[in-house]
Amino acid sequence: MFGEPIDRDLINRRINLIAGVVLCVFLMLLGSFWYMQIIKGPYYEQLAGENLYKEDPIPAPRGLIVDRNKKILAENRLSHNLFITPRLSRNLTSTIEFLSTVLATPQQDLYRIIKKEGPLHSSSPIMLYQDMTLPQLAYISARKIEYPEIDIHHEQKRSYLYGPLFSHVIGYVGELTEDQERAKDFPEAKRRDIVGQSGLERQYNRPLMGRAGMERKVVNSYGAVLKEFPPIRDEPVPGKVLRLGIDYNMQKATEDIFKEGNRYGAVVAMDIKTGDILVLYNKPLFDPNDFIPKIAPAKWKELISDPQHPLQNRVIQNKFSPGSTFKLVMALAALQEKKITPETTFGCGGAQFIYNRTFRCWKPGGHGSVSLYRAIMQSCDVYFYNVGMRLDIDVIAKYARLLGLGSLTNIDLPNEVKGLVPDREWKRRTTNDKWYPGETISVAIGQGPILATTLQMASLYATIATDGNIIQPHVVSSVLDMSGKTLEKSRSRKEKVEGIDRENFELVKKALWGVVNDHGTGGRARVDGYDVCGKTGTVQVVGYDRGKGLSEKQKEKYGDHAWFISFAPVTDPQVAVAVFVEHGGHGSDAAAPVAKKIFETYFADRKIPPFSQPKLKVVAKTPAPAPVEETLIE
Amino acid sequence: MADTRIYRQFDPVMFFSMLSLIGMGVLMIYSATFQSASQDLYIRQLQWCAVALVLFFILLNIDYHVLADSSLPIYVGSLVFLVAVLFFGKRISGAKSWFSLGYFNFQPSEIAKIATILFLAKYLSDETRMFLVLRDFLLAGLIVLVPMFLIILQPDMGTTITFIPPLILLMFLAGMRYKWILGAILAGIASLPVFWLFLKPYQKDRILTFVDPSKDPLGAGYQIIQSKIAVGSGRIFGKGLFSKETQAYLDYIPEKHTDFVFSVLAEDFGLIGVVVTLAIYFILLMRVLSTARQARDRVGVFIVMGFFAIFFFHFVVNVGMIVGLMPITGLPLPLMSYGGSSLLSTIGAMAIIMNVRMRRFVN
Repeated sequence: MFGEPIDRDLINRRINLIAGVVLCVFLMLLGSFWYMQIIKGPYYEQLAGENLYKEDPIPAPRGLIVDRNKKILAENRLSHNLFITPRLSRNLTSTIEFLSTVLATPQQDLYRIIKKEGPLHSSSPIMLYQDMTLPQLAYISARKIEYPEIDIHHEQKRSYLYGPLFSHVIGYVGELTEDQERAKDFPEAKRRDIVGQSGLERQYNRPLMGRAGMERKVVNSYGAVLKEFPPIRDEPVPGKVLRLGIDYNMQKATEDIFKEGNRYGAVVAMDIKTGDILVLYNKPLFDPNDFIPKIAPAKWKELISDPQHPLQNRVIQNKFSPGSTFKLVMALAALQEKKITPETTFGCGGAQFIYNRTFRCWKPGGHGSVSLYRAIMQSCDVYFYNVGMRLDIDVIAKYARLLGLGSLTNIDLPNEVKGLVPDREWKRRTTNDKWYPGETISVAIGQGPILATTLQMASLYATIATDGNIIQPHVVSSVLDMSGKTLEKSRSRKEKVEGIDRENFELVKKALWGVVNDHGTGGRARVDGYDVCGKTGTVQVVGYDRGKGLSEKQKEKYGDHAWFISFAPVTDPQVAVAVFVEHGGHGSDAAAPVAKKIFETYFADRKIPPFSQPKLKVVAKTPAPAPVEETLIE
Repeated sequence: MADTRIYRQFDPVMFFSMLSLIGMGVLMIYSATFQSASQDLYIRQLQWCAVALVLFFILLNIDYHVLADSSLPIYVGSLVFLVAVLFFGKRISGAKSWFSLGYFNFQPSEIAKIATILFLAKYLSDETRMFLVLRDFLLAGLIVLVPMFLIILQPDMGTTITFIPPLILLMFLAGMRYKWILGAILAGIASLPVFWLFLKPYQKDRILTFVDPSKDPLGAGYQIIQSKIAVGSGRIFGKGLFSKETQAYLDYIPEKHTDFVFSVLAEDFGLIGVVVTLAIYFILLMRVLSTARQARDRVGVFIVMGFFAIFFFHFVVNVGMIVGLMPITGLPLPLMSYGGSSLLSTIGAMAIIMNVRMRRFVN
């Protein structure tokens, strides 16, 4: 049967059942409210708070970067950015149409940006366009009233006043990337913060960044700020000012002389007393302004696919054979180990047969009988082959390390590399082979596996200049506040080289003076009235015989690298300069003139008067030809 | 002619429960809108309330048997209105369910509810039959399906489904066997996939969002999430009436003076306010059930229980939605939500229920 007979009993029974259901429903509802308001109450209270408050960060202006004379190198300029809050839009399609025309950006690009941030009716503002031009700004501001969803924010953007000139020192900034966020590279930064991506901007990100402020406002569900709740402001702390040891004039002089040669290379000049870096120059350069606010993908591709690696800081990141500039380490080691005296002479006939092989001197005719002074001055290879035969590779390595090679200088720039000082253990570890004596002969003239950065070589010569003081170089000399008051001065770690006698340094220095002032290979670095000391170096890229007949074009690719490493003045050394010119040919004519120009600028700017007489006299009267050229033999 | 004796049976508990819920509703409407552009809504609600009370006392004086006996013409009349509104109605937020009469709007589906229940009660309570046969149930279903069909054309989904609970409840009271009820419910569930095909995308959205509100936190899920935040953050004592730092004040709760008025209450008065309000609803509903138990005849029982079904259904769906137990259907909370038609039909139904109660001893 479909139904039961209807009587009062049936109805009342069924009504009672319904009453039971009603009671259950009420208990369930009460339980739900209990759960939401008591158990989950604190959670919902927090969510309600997050609804209510809108926190707007107030960015802190990034600290300036100035040179040693407080000339501004990096500052901030105003940038006008366009934001859109889609939820406030009356007609998003027409807004996008309007913006697309004014900003000259395809509509689908604008839609893509919005969609990337969330749904098309997102209630939080989305940055749609950065760095509007003034006409764009004026046009959009004038019609803003029609589009309540549009907002214009004025923001400080990084600007590098001298473009590429300081690119490798200062570096550039950019938004914190997802990878950096994950790797916690910048624990002080949040998503979208601007952080230093290279150079000093990266190294000193924390002081430069300052601390962003915050404005907490009460908003309704449409994101409108409610006037009856005054905002709470937390003022930003501006970034600190970095004052560099870099000297704008010297850097510019380097650029000028480098430009003439159309060559690649690296130059570093360092204040020997303080460790201040005065010049840090690389060629090729890049323009850090291209990275602000964001580098164009095409530009980025061009930079990273350039075979010359313009983004690389050659001064601290490229390792080269030091060539003849390493002979100083050989001389110091041999003198200290008493394998030679200043009077020891070797005969140079242009080549020597050692360990069943012919090792040649750069001068085919030979130097005749040479002492230490002449050997350095004229960069005689045969002399140092003989020194190399008297020294063990592990002893050479010991002195090289004592003088700072093979380890970081700990300059305040990111990604410095170490260089390489080879020894038996290194050979065994890397090739599982023993060290051959012939290899020591190569190392004796700075060839073979030994490698150093330009900065390490400058530091090495500064150590020689000061009779064995290793000073840590640094780019930032002090940290200032916005008003220019010094907050902190950089102090450089100084280290005394133990185990090399002072008189040995004096002997070597004398010879270095001779290189420049006594008809040596470095004559082109001579500055009248100032005792410049230095050493040339030429590093072969291809074998001697093949290298002979290179055309001009081939020289750019296979030509020798040129070194000139120097300091001045000899009696009271103030500044060390290391010049490396890739495929520049001979150190004497490609690199020495660069150093000369830097010294000239240094002395002229500091108004240091020239001496009427050189401080050092010519030690050995040598009937030497006019500035000689140096080349190298494998 | 009014029979004064029946007023001795006037039930003050029910009457004052009803009035206090209306009063609470007006207060919450004021709290939700006092700072907004529509801050005079509570006055309009009070005006409706006055009209409704006049209607209430008029209906109290008309013997419910008179209403039941004339239920067929009333029913047919309401169907005519439902057809007319499809042609001449005013479109409000997508649905053609209103007649615009100058100052106020009027919703014929509210009348249809009352008329359908009166007619259904009358039909099922035919004293000449001891029990009902299949044909009776099918006809009862047809009585309900016709207005449902007309209302779904508007389209007004929420109102359409409110016709189902009284139908089931009255057939249940009319003696339908449990196995048939169970079968009908199972058949209903089985037909859901077919039903799903006829839903509009936004309606599917609402149901999907009900299952997982976090799926679309700024779209359909936004309402549920914000409502829950409002309720939860009210905690034990609430944030107080007219407090400014509330979800309601800051416009985070959608439809706060109509569908979500209970959220406002839970936020302002906390769990204490919720318990008190739910208690009043419970007393009122229990009073309605006791009226049904004591009703003098079957037609009285069916009328009372028909209205009970609608009232309870609205209540459960609305409050269930507030706490996230039910999907958002846009059904108002009886007696408390802003809206004249809903208030009029609810109070009208209450009047008829009290009418039945007062005449329980009259022969």
